[in-house]
Amino acid sequence: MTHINRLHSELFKWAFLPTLLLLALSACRHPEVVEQEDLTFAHGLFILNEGNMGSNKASIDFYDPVTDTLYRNIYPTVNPTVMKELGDVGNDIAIYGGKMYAVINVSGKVEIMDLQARRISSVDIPNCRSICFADGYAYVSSYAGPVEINPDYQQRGYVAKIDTVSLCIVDTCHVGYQPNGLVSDGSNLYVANSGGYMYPNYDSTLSVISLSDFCETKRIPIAVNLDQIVYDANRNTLYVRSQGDYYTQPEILYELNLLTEEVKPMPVAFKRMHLLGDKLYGYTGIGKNWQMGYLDLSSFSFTAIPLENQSELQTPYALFITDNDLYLTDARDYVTPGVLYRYNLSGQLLSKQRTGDIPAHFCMKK
Amino acid sequence: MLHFKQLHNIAFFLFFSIAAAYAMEKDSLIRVQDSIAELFRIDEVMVVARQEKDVMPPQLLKGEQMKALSTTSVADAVRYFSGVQIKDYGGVGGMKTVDVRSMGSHHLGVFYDGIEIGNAQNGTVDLGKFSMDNLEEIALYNGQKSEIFQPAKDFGSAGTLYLKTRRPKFERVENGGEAYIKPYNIEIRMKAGAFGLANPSLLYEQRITENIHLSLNAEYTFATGRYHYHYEKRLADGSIAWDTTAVRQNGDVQAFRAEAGFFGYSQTGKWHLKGYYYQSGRGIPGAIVNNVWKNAQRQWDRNAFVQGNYTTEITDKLSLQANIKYSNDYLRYLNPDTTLMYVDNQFLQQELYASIAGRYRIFPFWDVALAADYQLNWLDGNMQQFVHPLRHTLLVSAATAVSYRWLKLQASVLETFVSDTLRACATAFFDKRAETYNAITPAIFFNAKPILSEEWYVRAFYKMIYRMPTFSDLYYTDIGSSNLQPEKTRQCDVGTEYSRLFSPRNSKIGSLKGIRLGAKADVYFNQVENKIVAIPKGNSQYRWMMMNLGYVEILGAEIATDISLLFPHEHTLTLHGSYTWQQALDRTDPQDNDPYGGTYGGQIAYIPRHSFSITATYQWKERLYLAYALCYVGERYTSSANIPANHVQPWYTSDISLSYTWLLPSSRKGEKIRLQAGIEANNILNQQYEVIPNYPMPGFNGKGILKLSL
Repeated sequence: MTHINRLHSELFKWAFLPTLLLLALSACRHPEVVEQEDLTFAHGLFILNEGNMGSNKASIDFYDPVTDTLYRNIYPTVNPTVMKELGDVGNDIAIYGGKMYAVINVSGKVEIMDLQARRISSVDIPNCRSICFADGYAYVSSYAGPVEINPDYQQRGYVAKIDTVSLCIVDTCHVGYQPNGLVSDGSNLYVANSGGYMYPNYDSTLSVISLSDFCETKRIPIAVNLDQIVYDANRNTLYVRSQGDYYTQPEILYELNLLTEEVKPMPVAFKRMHLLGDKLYGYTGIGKNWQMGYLDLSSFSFTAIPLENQSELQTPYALFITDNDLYLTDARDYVTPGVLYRYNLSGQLLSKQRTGDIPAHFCMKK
Repeated sequence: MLHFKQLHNIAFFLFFSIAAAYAMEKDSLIRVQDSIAELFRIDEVMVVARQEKDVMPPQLLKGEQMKALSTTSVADAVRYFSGVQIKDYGGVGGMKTVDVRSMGSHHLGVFYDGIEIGNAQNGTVDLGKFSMDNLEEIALYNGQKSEIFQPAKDFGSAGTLYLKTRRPKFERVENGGEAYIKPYNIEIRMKAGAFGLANPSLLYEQRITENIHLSLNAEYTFATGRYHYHYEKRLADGSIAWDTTAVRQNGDVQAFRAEAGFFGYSQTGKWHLKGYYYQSGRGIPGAIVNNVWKNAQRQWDRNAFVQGNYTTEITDKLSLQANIKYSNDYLRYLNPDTTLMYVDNQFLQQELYASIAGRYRIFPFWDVALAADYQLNWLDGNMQQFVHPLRHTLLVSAATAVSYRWLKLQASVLETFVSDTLRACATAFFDKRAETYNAITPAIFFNAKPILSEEWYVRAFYKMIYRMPTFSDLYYTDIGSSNLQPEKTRQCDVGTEYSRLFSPRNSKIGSLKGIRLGAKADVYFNQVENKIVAIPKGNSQYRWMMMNLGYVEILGAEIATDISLLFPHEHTLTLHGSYTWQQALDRTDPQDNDPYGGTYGGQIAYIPRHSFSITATYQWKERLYLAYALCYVGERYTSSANIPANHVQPWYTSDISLSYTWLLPSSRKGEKIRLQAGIEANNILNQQYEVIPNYPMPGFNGKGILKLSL
């Protein structure tokens, strides 16, 4: 018996160590805590960061131009009890009627907040892309194809109509393939169909939806793989961007006269654009040869804006223009935090702020 | 007759002693104490074994240790090695890749029975697909295997993992006065447990002739892949901000594997012929993000290969070996969810590989070797505008080894020539992108034994190697990036190793029959230039977004110790501990260094600074095993911007396994039937953790095993 006892004590001695270590280890893992802060946002710029797909890192930053302060990732701070935060891949953000709408693509929802980014509600729209507003309704484009049994199944997209008071979807309307940008001129909705899932057979049409009965009335052919649309009320004109096919067909910006439905290519092909009065701001080009500037819409002449630190920007991404300032983001390598640059309209650098991952969309709180 | 038997016994005894001593010498890290009997013979055969000491000893898992640990796939097993990080997407069917010393999973060459498992498509091998069922040894080498007589490919990776399947061994049976060698072995095994796992397997080994052995093995795996996971966040005051418990969906898997191997032995050589077939269908559970709790993507795989090896001694100075392989790998990926992009992609990749290698012994202490390999890979797919790439790879290596008393030196150079052609070009755009590539890379290894009477070694190595961007890095139409450079790695390593055996003659060890101590330490500095980083493109784990991250510097240290305690009455306790410290810093852009998201000087994605593992195995004869394993991975970041938003919690799991073997009488006298029953309990603390954010890992889970050996 003695040897058994001794054996046990020896065994115990050697097994004791790992047990002790395990206990010490349990102290290494702390519960994850949401940072809470009392923040109020006076006026400034909300930035929606896309975040890489699958990372659940869509986030909202707020930039206060008066104090030159950027508040990062404000959504969980303001809404600590929302499960899994804002969501995966932010695709658009806009303010309408005292509410802010964030379109979250992979999470398949439009998040509706007040102007302090406090959550009010959300509306599920799978694979949602962009948002615009008219007459008390929000319109959201979506890539989500209808469910139907069909051997030649093709994934047409749709536009959902949300009542901005009840915050419910009241109607939907099917459009072309993979609709991206959409704008309204007050009587119609114009939707840029990309056909991005159909490559190399891209869509090349603009869907026109009548707001009175919310039906697609016609398609206007423009060019392949349409993306962003800007509405110019002064000229009753749309500026529609075709992304080309990435191989042979280049990107081209088109002008569509809504009265005559005449389509004309414009002299510069902006990647992102922002209309302010008579000037269409944007940047063009690829790689290191990109250029910031604006197109004077009365003379159609392009004026370059040399940015003070242009070579520092790795991946110019989102653009926003105010009366005095030019905001441009750098998405860098898409997996590390981006940068917000604030310039004056002649390209002088005023501020540089680190944002979330892929700062991609802006809206202004006035 | 009696004479012969005695001789035979002595020969057997000697053979096993040498083998055991060799094993003890070789596996410095996870040391296996086969049985007490061998302990006393070690001193006598040390001298013989010393000849075979590796210049850079591998980390080994085999024998008893492998039997005792609770592991289902190769990925589960290698996490106990130091310097190794596993990327695990969770569950039975989830993808598991291995990264050695922070250089990235593409730099690990995985060899199955001596020949590399290729994946020209995306360059990584999913170790979750390789079962432990039929393996007898896993060896991980930093740099390359310390062997010069090998194919050129074996010189071609920054780290190499060798998976060796079980070789048939036939027991000698004594039946009264008669003795014979049992001509067959049969093993029937069933595993079942959590995640709806049912996993039967069958092994049959036949001694066809004295020199030709056959092994047949088949395994089927079914799992629903469902498990509960829990997420929670707390407010600063400690109250719950939100929490949820859900069930992992779409993680089901069905897999079938069959292998057949012939093993041949002759006076001057040996040969091995092998066929492998694997087929699986699985759900891709995907990322759990806000408002998305399940995904619908599916994947089907079919992997088949045949390979052969022939090794012969032409003269006592000249040896030759030839290797040949054909593999055929099919992959189908389906996204049936029409709210997302409908995808039904199919890929077929094929590989043809042939190698010839020779070694010449100039003097007993000086060897030289040459090897030439040719490999052809081609990939077909049904993607739009797919370019159908074809790649020729030619590898030529020259190596030399010197072994003189206390000193061992090895040096090798490898020339790699790669040329791609694209067999279908929808547009001229891709024409320009077909790559050719040529490089010569060296490696040098050194090992010294400063005191001849002590088992103390000092060693160092330097190795430089490139890895070519894969087909998916280069030629995928909807993602991927042009201008990708090959990744270049340089490794410098200095290490030392000490082992000692305390025998019963030493009175300090009390009632113990023996103690074996082993310790090793390594310090290394690696550089990775033009590092190609794969960012999973959302829900499909096999498609990635590629980028050259730039430049990474890795400073690391590894310490490993082993203690084997031999108690009276054949009780053994083995403790193994390893600790890894790694500082893998992004040194790409010195300007990008602000504290709110700068990347310069940040620890690169998914590499913990600290990680360690501990295993404790208690064994009685070859009958009872009780093992405890702890695996700890420290805090990490998801990108080299080391900010709170990218922080990932440390995780650690504790696993326990217990098994007992009954010896049952057989109808044939002298033969034994073994019935083994075991239980495994994994993650016993039920920790809710993630290796990759948004891919929740299983909590507490268990399974049972029954194995019958005839």
